[in-house]
Amino acid sequence: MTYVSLYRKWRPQTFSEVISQQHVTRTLQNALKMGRIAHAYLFAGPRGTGKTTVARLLAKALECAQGPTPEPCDQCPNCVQIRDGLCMDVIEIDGASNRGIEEIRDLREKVKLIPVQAPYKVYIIDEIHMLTTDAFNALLKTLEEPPAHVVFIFATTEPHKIPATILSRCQRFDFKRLTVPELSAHLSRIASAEGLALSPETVALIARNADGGLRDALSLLDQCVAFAGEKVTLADVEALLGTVESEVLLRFVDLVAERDLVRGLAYIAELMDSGKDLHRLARDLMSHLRNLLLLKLAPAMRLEAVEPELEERLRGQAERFTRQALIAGIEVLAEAESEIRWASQDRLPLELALIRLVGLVEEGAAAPKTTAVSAAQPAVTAVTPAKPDPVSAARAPAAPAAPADDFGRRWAAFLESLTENGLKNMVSVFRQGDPPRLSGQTICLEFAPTKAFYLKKAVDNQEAMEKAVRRFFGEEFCFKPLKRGELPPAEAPEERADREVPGNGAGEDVRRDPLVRKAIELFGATLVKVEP
Amino acid sequence: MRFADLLGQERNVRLLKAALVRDRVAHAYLLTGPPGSGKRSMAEVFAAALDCEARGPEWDGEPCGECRSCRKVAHGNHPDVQVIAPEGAHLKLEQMQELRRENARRPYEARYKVFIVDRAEAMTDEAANCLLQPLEEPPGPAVFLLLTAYPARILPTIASRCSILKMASLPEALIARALMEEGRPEEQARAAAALAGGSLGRAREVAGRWETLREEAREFYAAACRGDRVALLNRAAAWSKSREEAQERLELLEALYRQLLLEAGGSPPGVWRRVLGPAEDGGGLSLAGARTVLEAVMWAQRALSANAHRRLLLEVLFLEIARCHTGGDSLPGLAEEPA
Repeated sequence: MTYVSLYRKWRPQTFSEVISQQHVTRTLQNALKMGRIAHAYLFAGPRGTGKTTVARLLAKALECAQGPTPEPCDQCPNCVQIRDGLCMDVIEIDGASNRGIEEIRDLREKVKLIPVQAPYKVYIIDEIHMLTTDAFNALLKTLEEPPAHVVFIFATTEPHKIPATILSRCQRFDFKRLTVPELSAHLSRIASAEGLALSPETVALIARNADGGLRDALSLLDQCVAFAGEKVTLADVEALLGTVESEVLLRFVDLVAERDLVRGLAYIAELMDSGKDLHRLARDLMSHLRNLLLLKLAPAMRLEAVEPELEERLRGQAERFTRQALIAGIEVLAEAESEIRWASQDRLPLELALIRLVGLVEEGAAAPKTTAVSAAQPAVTAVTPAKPDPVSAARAPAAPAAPADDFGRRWAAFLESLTENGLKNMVSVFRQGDPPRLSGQTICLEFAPTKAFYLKKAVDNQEAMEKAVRRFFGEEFCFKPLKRGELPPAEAPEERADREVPGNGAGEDVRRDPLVRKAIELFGATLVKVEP
Repeated sequence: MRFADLLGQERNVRLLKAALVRDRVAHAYLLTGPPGSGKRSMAEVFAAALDCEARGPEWDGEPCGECRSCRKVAHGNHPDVQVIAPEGAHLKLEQMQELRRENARRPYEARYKVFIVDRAEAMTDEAANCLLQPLEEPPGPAVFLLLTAYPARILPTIASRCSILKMASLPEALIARALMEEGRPEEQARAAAALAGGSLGRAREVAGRWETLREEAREFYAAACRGDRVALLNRAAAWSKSREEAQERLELLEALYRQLLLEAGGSPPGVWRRVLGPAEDGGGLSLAGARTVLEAVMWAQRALSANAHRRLLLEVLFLEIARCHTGGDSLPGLAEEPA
């Protein structure tokens, strides 16, 4: 006898063993009790939440010797045969490999035949979303008015792929993802029944990594047992999953805060060589930054599933970043995460993300650094930082923190109104940019280097786009498309022109000076005055 | 081949051996790892071990390599060990249906039927869905080994039915050492290791062609530093003959500019610096410049895998690289109008 994996071995055989889907089981059991049995059911939900299991249970409940019964006996010949997959009247069809119209025609022919031994003929079609359109349509007529002895049960992970005409003929049940505590409780139960020794932390780690699927959780447990024997320790699971401990995250983010690019890059190499999963690292970093952001926004909040001691350290780390840097950091990591997903190499996207993260921190701290630059170059006495210093911006009464979110909402409303006015082309260009930034009265839209085409479109049509912006936001606003990384001017361009000393021909020369150019490129600048 | 021959995979080997010895082999594994990290070798050794005839009470999970079964696996003619690889670009529904028919039979002579599905990400949607049921409840004693370098492209319903084994990519230093032990000069070994993306097989291959690659990299870099667009465009034409060639050159550029990025970020100069010559040739890249180049290279790699026009793609990429080097503006009309 070959080994049977845990998730198959522990497939529930009665309704009471099904966990966390009470909204489904209870409805079904009541229907069975009252004899109100529909002729078609659709079970939808993510992988590993019990669709196929409940379908088989429902079949059992219908076919049981005492049936239809709310709880099958699991002992009568019908129940036993269904459990072993031998019952002639419960027909399980894999929709993915029997997906054509021929198979469905064949099924329609056989549906008419009376059941052999049980009261009902139950058709379970798994992965129903894979049927072809023709096959679905061929099924419609039968599905609407099947013979009295037939019950259809469909199971799918992708209900949106099923035609509305099929959906409207079925009773639909949505299975939900399992929560971590539910998974943990179930895992511990199975572990003790299997005679395995697992600490609660180990169970919780497995549950967290199962992403809501019971099958995933049990396969993981299986793998852990295969790896470590009957005593599974936390370290075993960590080694198996390549998870990243919170120490690693703290250290990584500290390096970002210290703007230590060299050690940051070396650290990535070190993590990679020690077998860490960098894709997972990117994801964990994202949730780490999310925690920091939450603590920053709501210092009184308690994070769930984080130990108090760790939370203190997180709080300290949150102090080191501005809110904007954290939000932008999460965006950078989200981008890196999707890059990693599509690349076969995971190191480079993470390295680039690190560089951008460090860049973000530097941007936030750019203000104090300008003094150093102007000191080094006495010819230029006043290079004012173009980006408003976040601290002073927060203090200024005219610009409280709220408008930023407000602006995001208004921007969305703006795009909406454009769509309604039939300016879809313009909307698609607007949407290709990064989230827009409002600096002064100028709306800056940055485009990633890969979006050069759209940037060009935006530049070409700047006038029309600006007109649209003004119509919505008011006449005083301007619109400026930029390359990503190009810092937006602090004030509207016209104002800047005004402030450049008129009649001082040296202005342009100074702009051409490589050092000044570099400074402007780095910090963005308004040239105020040139002293010889 | 034996488990012991697999370099740098101690953790996975330990795991599989433990499963073999404890007789807790899962019926489906998903082996993930970058191209050339040894997924196929691992799968073949595991298949041999599953069907090895020499297993006794004292067995440690290592296939003997001498019994009839092991020899058949090694020669690729074991009737119970089947390798399914994409025909053309995809793994098709018909192949999976064939697999299912085969799976319904009992093993001909060995303990397990083993199905190795290579490049599993190439399964069409239909094919993948067709595999769901056998993956969940194989009718007989069967073990499925799905191999992929792109786990994110595998259907979640498939992955959820498998035990996932992540192949470690080999540390660069380890690959370089292995190459040097094979008698290759240090520069070659280190550069090949940096290019190989954690795969020893790929590193060996790169090392074999090192002279050509080095010259190409050097010439490309020099042209980019000079902002010599004609040379670059000629190169784009030369490198875009086949998809594989374009892909390999993009990897070359990725490794090269990654090194420059690390250097610009303050890391000590690596082996590529010696290849390229000193930095004072006027074309040194800033950190932001190197980042832009790498983002563009990554973009090009994605576009290439989405069947973009190769030559056009390389041309645009190279002009962008030249721009990053010389600090000049883009060509008129490409990204913005010249001032």
